[in-house]
Amino acid sequence: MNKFLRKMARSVYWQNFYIQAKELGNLSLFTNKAQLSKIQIYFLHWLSIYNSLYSDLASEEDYISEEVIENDVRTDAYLFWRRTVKDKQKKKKDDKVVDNTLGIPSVKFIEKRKKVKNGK
Amino acid sequence: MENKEEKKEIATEFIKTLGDLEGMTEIEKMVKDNKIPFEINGVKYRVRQPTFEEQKELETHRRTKYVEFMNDDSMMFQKQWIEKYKSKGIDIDAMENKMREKEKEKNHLKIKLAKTADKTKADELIKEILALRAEQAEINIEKTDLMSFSIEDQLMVAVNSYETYLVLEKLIKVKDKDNLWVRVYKDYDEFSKSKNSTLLHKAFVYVNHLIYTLGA
Repeated sequence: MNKFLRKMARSVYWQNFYIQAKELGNLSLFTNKAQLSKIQIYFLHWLSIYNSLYSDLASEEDYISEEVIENDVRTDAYLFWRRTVKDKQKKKKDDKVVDNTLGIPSVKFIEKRKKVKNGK
Repeated sequence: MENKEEKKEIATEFIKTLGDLEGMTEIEKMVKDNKIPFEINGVKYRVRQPTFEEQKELETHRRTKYVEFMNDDSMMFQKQWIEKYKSKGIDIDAMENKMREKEKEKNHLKIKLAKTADKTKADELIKEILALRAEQAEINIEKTDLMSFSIEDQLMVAVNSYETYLVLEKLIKVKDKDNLWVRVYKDYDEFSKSKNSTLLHKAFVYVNHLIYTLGA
C-alpha cells in the first residue's frame, strides 16, 4: 500500500498535477473538495515530500540523486539525514550573529549581573 | 537453456509489473475520492466518510462500550496487562526498549546510507536496515498480540466495526429513478451476525484506509 502510494506521489504525472494545483489554487487533485480521507491526507504528505526532493535535486544538494528518489529506503535515509544533520547545521549557521559586511561572526559581550543576596 | 532462464525471468518481471499496475490502479481509485467503491459477485458496494450525525452515533457507541468494558471484571487496561504479564515472566517494557534500540541502530545506518553513493555499499546497508525493520515488526506483532485483550484494543475493534457498519453501502436499482446507495445491513445486530466474510473483510480494510491509518 505505502509502496504504491509513494510510487504514485513521485510520478511525473502527479508531481505536475500537484505543482499546477499549488500554483493555480483552484485545481483540485481529488473528486471531493472537502472532508479528505486519511489516505488522501497521507498522499498529499508524500506529494509534498517528493516535491521537496525534486527541488533538492534541481538545486544539486548533497547526497540526492534520481536513484535515491526511486528507492524508498534510500529516500527515507536521505530524509532522515536532511532532518537530523543538514537542517541542524543550517540552523546553527543561521544562528551565528553577523554584524559586518565581511560575514565574520561577532563576539557577544554579556553583562555579568551581581548576585542579589538576602533581597539586597 | 539460458534462453529458457531468460524467458522465465521476463515472465516473472511481467507478472510483477502487472501486479504493480493492478496495485497502482487500486490505490489510484482509493486516492481519487473520499469514497471507495468495490464489487463482489456483481453487487456494487462502497465505503465512505461518516456524516456528522454518524460520528455522533459512533461516539455514543464508543462511550457505551467503554462503560460496558469498565464494568466487566474480566477486562483490564494495557497497564494492568503489562503488570500481569510481568508476574508471568513476560516483559512488555523490555520489548519496547528492544524496539527503541533497533530504531537507534536503524537511524545510525540511515545516516551512513544517506552519505553513500556506492551502489554495492548502499545495497548492503539497505539489506541491514530492512532486516532491522523486520525484527522490529516481529516484536511489534508479538506485543500487539499480547495486548489484544486489553480494554484499549477491544474498544478500538468495537468502534472500527461499528464504523464499518455505518459507512458500508450497496447500490440498488430504483424503478424510474436514479440508482440509490443504501446501508447494507439494517442494524448493527444484523451486521454482527453476517456470514459474508469476503464483504466484511474488504470493507474493514477500506474503512481503515479511509478513516484510520495505513499499513506498510
